[in-house]
Amino acid sequence: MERGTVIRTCGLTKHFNTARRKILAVDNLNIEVPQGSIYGFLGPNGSGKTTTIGMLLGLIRPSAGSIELFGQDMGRESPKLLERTSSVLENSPMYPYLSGRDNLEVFARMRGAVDHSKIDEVLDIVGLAKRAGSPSRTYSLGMRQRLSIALALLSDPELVILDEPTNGLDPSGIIDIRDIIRQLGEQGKTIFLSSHLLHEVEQVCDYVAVLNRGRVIAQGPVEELLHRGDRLEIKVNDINAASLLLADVPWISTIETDEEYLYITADEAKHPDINEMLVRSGIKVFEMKKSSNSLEDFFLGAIEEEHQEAGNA
Amino acid sequence: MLNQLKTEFFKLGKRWLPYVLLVVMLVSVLLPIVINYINYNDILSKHPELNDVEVIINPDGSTEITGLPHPEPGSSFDFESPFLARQLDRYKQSLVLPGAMQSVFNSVPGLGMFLVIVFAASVIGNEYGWGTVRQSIARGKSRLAYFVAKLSTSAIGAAAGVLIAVLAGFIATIITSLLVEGAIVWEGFAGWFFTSLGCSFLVIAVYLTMANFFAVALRSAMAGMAVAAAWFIGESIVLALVSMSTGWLAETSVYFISYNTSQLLSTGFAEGFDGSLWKPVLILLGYIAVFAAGAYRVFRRQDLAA
Repeated sequence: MERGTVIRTCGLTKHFNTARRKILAVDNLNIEVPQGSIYGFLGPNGSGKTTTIGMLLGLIRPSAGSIELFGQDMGRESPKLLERTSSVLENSPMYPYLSGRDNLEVFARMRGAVDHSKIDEVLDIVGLAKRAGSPSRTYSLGMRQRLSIALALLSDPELVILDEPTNGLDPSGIIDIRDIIRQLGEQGKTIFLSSHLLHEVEQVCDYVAVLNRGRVIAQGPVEELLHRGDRLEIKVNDINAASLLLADVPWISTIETDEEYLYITADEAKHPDINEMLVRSGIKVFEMKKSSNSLEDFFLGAIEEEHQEAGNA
Repeated sequence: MLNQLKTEFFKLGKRWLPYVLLVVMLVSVLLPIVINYINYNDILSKHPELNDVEVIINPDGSTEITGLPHPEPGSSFDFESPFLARQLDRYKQSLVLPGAMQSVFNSVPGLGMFLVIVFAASVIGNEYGWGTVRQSIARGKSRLAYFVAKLSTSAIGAAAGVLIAVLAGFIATIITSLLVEGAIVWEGFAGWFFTSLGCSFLVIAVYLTMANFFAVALRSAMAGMAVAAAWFIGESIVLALVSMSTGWLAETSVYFISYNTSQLLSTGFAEGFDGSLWKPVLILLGYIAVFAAGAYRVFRRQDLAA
């Protein structure tokens, strides 16, 4: 069955007017989040992730462009559509004078029904059951973050939007949250995860959009992006001869060398052919290995490319 | 909408601020009654002969004292007795219904204006500071429903506070009336009471919507309180200056909030509602509508960024 699209933005743009200048926070953003995916929204601090989430959640008015949630335009149907979503907002806003449990009760009341057993259940999931009665102002940033995640789990949303959900968490907390995200994904929920942590996105997401200076500079399935720059590393006895031999092969995209290795970009299916060509030409092959990009490599490469393009323009 | 309203009262019930404001209001209403009663008894215990003295106010405003005991030649009582008799009468008037309720109605909206500014600005303004306004809207609350629930909570909370303070004052003055006079004259009281209560609500509502407007526009409880209080004080100063001028400038004074609130608080409380009070009522209702609609317009278009 073909997957539907849960979030679709078209030409989404936001600029903020300050007294001194106009700040372009999000620039012509076009993304499509498939139903049931864990979609990573990756970008450095200040790249426009939170502003985009603000627009998706009806908190910030777009300057231009449109947003569709669940196939419907956000403009008119915003509250109705947002009832089908849950979110973890930046800084985990909560009522400081209320206990963790009361905070959850407040937001449950807004939607009508208060299920106390469900409140206990989500407090247990995020590991806050013991401190649920303390005022949330006494919570650490990590505990507030956990409470915010508990709030997101309270309803049964189709879409969960998470803005930097592991901020302030200790390593075990990060692992817990990662597990929760995976579990939600396994339940068929669509997760939109904003983060500046590459390994976080790499580990849990199946789609990713890379954002820089308010623009999407790359997007697609994580696997595809990671393998987009796969290289073959070859150690031979004569690098120059090997380099000359392979230079004219049309299906080899790039050849780079250093003192020890040849680095070749080519379709994986052609890798045995490269080995055969070298051996037939009398070049001794000591080592051949495939090196995959990490998301970090990809991310840094994409940002670098974008800077170069901006410089050339 | 009803869910949101219930939620607002759930949150409000867990805050200390409304209780503190209510205690301040109750103290400001009840303390003068207690002090006046103590003073009244103090004078009577020292001068029991003044118990039968009566102060009559003549149509020309002058007062006449009857029942003063014959002074003994050379005694200090000679000089003090008319003064003490008048003072005793003033205390008596402030303790016996219906006059006693006038003091209550003077202090309720008087201090209430400031308290309601603090209350209304906190109800909406703190949500910006805590970031919880974002949490609510992001969870599918319509901005109209959220705004109306917030304003209604402020209005109902403030009205409840006024009502509790007035009722506390009413009960206290029933007790003092019975202690001082032994009986209560109810004639014409109900009409005057409800007119005064209505005037108090109206005066409070103007400052409530004003504080709500500034808290929304400035996204802060403190800023909302500060600007609304500055308006209250600043307008009184400007009104005093405008009133001293002549021509069209002097005529603008009738459109000031404080001019119209004092019309209601002085004329309304002293003489009850008559036709001359319609103009201040309509002007104040106009201010309420402008502040409420303006606040919603700002809120509807506001970016709720972190």
